[in-house]
Amino acid sequence: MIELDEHIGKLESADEAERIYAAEDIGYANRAEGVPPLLERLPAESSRAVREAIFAALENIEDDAVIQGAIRLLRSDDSFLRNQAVDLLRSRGPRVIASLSLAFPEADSDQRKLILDVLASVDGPGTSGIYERALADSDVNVVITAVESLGNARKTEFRAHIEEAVGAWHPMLTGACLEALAQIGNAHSLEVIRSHAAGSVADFLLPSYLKVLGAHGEESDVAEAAGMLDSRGAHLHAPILDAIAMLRQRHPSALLPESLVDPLERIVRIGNSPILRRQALHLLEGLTKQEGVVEFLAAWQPRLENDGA
Amino acid sequence: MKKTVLIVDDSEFVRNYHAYILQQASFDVITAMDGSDGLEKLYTHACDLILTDINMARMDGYEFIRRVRSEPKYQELPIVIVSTESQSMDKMKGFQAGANLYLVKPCSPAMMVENLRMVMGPAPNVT
Amino acid sequence: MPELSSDQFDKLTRKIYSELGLQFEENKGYFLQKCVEKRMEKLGFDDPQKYLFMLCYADPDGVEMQALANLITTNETYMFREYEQLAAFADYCLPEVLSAKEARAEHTLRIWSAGCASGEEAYTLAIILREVFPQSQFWNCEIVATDIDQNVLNQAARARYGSRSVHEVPPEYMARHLIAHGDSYTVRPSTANLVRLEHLNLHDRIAMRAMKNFDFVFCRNVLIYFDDRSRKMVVDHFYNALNPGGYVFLGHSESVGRISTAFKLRRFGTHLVYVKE
Repeated sequence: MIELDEHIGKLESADEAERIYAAEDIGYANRAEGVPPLLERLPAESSRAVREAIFAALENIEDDAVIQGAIRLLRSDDSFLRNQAVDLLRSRGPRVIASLSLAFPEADSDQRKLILDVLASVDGPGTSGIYERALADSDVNVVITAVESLGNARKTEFRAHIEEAVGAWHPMLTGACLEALAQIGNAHSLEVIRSHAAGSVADFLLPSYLKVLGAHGEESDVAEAAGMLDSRGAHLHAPILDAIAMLRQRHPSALLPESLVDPLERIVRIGNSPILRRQALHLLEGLTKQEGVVEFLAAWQPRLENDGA
Repeated sequence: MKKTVLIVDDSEFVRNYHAYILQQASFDVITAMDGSDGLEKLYTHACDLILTDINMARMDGYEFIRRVRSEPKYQELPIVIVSTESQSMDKMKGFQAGANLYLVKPCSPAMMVENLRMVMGPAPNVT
Repeated sequence: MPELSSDQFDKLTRKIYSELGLQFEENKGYFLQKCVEKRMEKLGFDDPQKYLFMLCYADPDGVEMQALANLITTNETYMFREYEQLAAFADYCLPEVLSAKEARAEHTLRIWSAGCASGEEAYTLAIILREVFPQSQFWNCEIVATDIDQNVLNQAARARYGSRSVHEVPPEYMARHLIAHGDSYTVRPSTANLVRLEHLNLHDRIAMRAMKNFDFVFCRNVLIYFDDRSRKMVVDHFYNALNPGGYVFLGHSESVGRISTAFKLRRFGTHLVYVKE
């Protein structure tokens, strides 16, 4: 205990290196008594290096006082402290869920969003309750964050809820729903999206829509994606080719329209990324019955394989 | 010549969403996942404007903006914050750090593009 | 095996950057594809999407990320490896530090090569110092080269290398700093004597705290193999080991900023460097 007190005392040292080592030693001591002095030092500490060392030390201390302290830091006016607290909570894994579940209803919208930021990397029993509340949140940013996390974590049990939110047609929320449904949706999700879009998906939502199409579309949907290649800007080439490639992966017998040859060859020649160009080349392999494609492939394959080396 | 926007946000969805909006409006886009990544991207790519979130671990938006502004060559580079935090104190902090504009998420695509064009003006590429 | 889509490549490189601090540009897409395919084959995945999900959300201890790291990084060591980074050191950082010291009439220079292995990097730095800073013979200059493995330190002490280790040494430096013995080369004593070898475990925090007053720390292609916490601890120690104005160099594509934001980023030419202000 005397030794810990010495380290705690050195948190006030005028020497930056000494404060860093003090924090490190308190972390290694791994005692609950070390948590309050570390947390108390944070607002007063001007050195970024020391602040980072304090958070590293807190990560080393196993006591749950760290969790409670980090949750309190989510309310800090200091954005560094708030956001490092998110990282600290993430490092604890599922142990934080119960405390976050208690904190969520009492938190303001900014803090609720930060809690969801923690859950983006943490899974376990109890998260569903938080997500259910988040999906019904009055702040659309909280809902958007929840939708994003649910998609990434492959929480298919929330699919129906997210399909409903598509209908709200708030642009950013709709975008989040499309991205999530690309991961946890199914063919029905695509129908829901189409019924709400009424034949016209907003341009800036097209990349997300194409992800859903690629993930859940049918063989016949290749034509829809292929039809965009000539008519849309070059910035959409990557999501369009991704969608076609995914559809072909899931439906190997899907035929590629001959109208794809010219735009694909153009991308191979002058596409703006090596991956895009290779992808176009691979799709051309499905069009070898078209005139000139075999020769084109023979000329370009050696140039694009092996990172052009 | 297309203008390039550096988008800094820890959410993959938000980065992509803003990227799609800006690409649709004929901007080129570079993305970064936090302030530290943002600085590395800024120093290795030419860009005409930074669009940054505030709440990011490792390096938050205020610190990122301060470090950008500490470099003489980036004094005039337009910086727009786009954040969920909407209190006037947050906005004040943003301007004190050196931002030119503060937009609150979610911002409509049209308003975002209009605001960015307004802030960018005819400033040349910074390399 | 299906190719990674643009979106998947983006996710993969972000995850690698986030966990290992390694940057991969699109021109390395084919190489990364092959590494991922090897891992997928080993683990029985046939869909890159599923492999990516596992890597991003079901690899809590980072075991798969480390397995991937072993494939995407090379352990090869030779002199003047990552030449451009060394050029930034020689052309910008070193002159800046020397100039500041000269202005303060401080005639010491200390460089730490951390995780030096068989010494190629340390002797490379010694050659650079002799070439770019001839007055080093009148200053108190030292390159402290440390490693946890005594066997490689013994090898480093011999300062004798095969042609593979010297193939990147500029020809004009070969004659001035290396003595040829048939197929092998020894570093000339007048250059080698800048280097002091020491046994040190980067995880030993007490030993690390004793490392102080350095102007440069080189720790290239070592920390990728450490876990997050250890990496952070080591870089914190590097921060304390450096004098204000001192630089830390990790591998060319390793990002210091992923580990610590206490250092300031600067650009010299096309190269990014990190300095303790």
